[in-house]
Amino acid sequence: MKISRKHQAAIILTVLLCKPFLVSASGIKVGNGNDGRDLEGLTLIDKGVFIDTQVQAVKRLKQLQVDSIANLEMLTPEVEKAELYLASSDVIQTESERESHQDIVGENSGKVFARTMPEAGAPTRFFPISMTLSQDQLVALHIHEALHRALPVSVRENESVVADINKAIMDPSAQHDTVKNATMKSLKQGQSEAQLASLEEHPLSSLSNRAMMPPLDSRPHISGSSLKIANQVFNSPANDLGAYQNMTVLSIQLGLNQLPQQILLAGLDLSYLKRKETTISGPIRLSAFTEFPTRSSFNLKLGAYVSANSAADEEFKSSIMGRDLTTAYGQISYKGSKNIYFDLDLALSGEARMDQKIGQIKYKHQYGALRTLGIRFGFAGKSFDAGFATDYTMLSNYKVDGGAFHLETGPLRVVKMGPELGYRWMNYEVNASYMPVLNASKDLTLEYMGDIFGTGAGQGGYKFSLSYLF
Amino acid sequence: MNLTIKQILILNLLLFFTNACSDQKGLLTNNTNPVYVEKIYALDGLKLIAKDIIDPLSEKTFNQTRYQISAESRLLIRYENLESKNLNLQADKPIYLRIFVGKTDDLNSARNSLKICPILRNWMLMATWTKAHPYPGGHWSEGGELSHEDCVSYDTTAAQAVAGCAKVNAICFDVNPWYQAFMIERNTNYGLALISADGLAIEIIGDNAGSQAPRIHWFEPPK
Repeated sequence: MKISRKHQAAIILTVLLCKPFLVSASGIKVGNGNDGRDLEGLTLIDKGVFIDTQVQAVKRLKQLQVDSIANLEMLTPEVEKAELYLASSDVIQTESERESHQDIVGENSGKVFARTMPEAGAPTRFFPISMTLSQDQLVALHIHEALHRALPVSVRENESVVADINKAIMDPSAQHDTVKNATMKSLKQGQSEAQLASLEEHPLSSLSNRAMMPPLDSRPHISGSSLKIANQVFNSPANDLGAYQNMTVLSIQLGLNQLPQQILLAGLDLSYLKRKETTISGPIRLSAFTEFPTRSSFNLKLGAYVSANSAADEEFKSSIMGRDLTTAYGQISYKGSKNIYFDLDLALSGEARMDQKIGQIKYKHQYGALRTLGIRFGFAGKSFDAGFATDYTMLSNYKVDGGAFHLETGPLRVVKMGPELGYRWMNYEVNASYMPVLNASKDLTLEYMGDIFGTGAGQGGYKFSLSYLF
Repeated sequence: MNLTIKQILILNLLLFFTNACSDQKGLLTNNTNPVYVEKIYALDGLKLIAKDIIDPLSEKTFNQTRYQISAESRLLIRYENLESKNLNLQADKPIYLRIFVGKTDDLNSARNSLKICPILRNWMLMATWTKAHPYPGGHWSEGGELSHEDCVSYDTTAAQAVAGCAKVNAICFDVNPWYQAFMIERNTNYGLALISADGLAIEIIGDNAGSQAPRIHWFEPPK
């Protein structure tokens, strides 16, 4: 049948105008109800069976360790922190709600048990009919509504997806793996091909809900925004007034999720250096990175640091470490196993020059290229990590000329290795490591790499840091 | 004998140039020895090393008006641009290193105690009692690696040769032997160390002191 151009245009226009009103083929939407009446007459619930079952729901979710299941990281907080309200009267299901809550009550009762908004932190509104449910059914109802808030935006309003996952959680024989598999299967059915990469077992799926916290209980986790204070204690001679004894760094890192599976990071580090009798300001470091998953078992982080001495103390600027430094950085993180972490870092800095005037002589320092290869591996638990880190640093050459003094060292090499520990609790993260110099070119101290942020000073040492993630 | 004008002119010209040559010698000196031009330069590489100073950039160790030389402190001295190919230095003439003593009362003690010794390793202004420089391989013998057998004492004839060495509280050392052995023969300029041979503490004027800061004197042929 041949359709005239006029009719074709009419059909297209009709489709476009009706599109907002069409029910999605992939699911049923939830939300505010048909006329908003359920928002009237709400009473805050602070005790009773709804609170008790809320606690039971949280307990069940923690037992199943759903926090470490991709796309369910925020489910437990959404259940635990949700405000609960009780409506004064029941409401009738809308056309789109006919199939909702079948995972809890099975048959279509015609009335709504509970509602929520598909937004992080929204409250759960219970209706009087929900008081006829058993405790187990109420637990399931808490989890059901929280799923509408915790799942990725593209599927959180899909009743089929929510029901399938809730059934898996509430199944009497439920295990962590069964819930995980059911979640993956259900989400795959609910999502388009373009979002399939986010369904693998790693916390990157949280990038689609950037308003929420990045997951803390699994590795490798994609870096988010953070504030950090770190202190490094260098193995330096205690009686050497000129040696740097320790370094304190205040860091801020901001994460910007521009793409569904990619995050852009920008950072600023301020440093303070302590010698035996004085404390001076050190260099400032600016950083920019992008971090994203690959289709294999790795995450990739690429970016650059710039270390500048404009604001540093004059004493530091005129020292061997007083050069400005630009470093290209790359990191590969293995994510194939929940309990093992493995990171491979590579940092490259180009040649640099620096002038230093001592007395009446001007010394010209010429640094060759600086390369650092770092490997980190260990055990990753739910809240803590324990492992080892090693760094191999090579400076291709170092040359000093001034007056009648000339020196060229040739390549300088340093190997550091030691244990590292990490602990996470809510939004906080504590890390500690000990990285002494194991092997180095003769008489070398780390100052002569000229990279106080990267290689440090002295003969390596301890590092402690406290981070707040947001 | 009749001379033509041309012949007279030629004769006068010959007489003129003959006298001029003899007068050239006569103008600079009334004897057969040429007068060399004395050159004086402030020493730019001065570094105090002391047993109790560990910081290589300690402010006490350079740019000071006074330094104390003792059993546990020495002054490293170098004229940084002293390379024979760049200078018109007359190598068969004395080369004086001149310092001033801080106190007149110490002058005689200083003349007896102070010595100048060649340094055997290259160093920089971050040198310390135990390190020639802070870079890998910088350790040296405590107090610096010196050639003690080549140390020289105060030159008693310097005051007659150089006006500067006749000044009050001035002490001059002839370092020409060092120049010959190290600058000429080894083509190295590792400088010299001022030491107190018997350990007596002597105060000298430092590089930040103006006209009495340490100097090096040498002679160049007339131009």
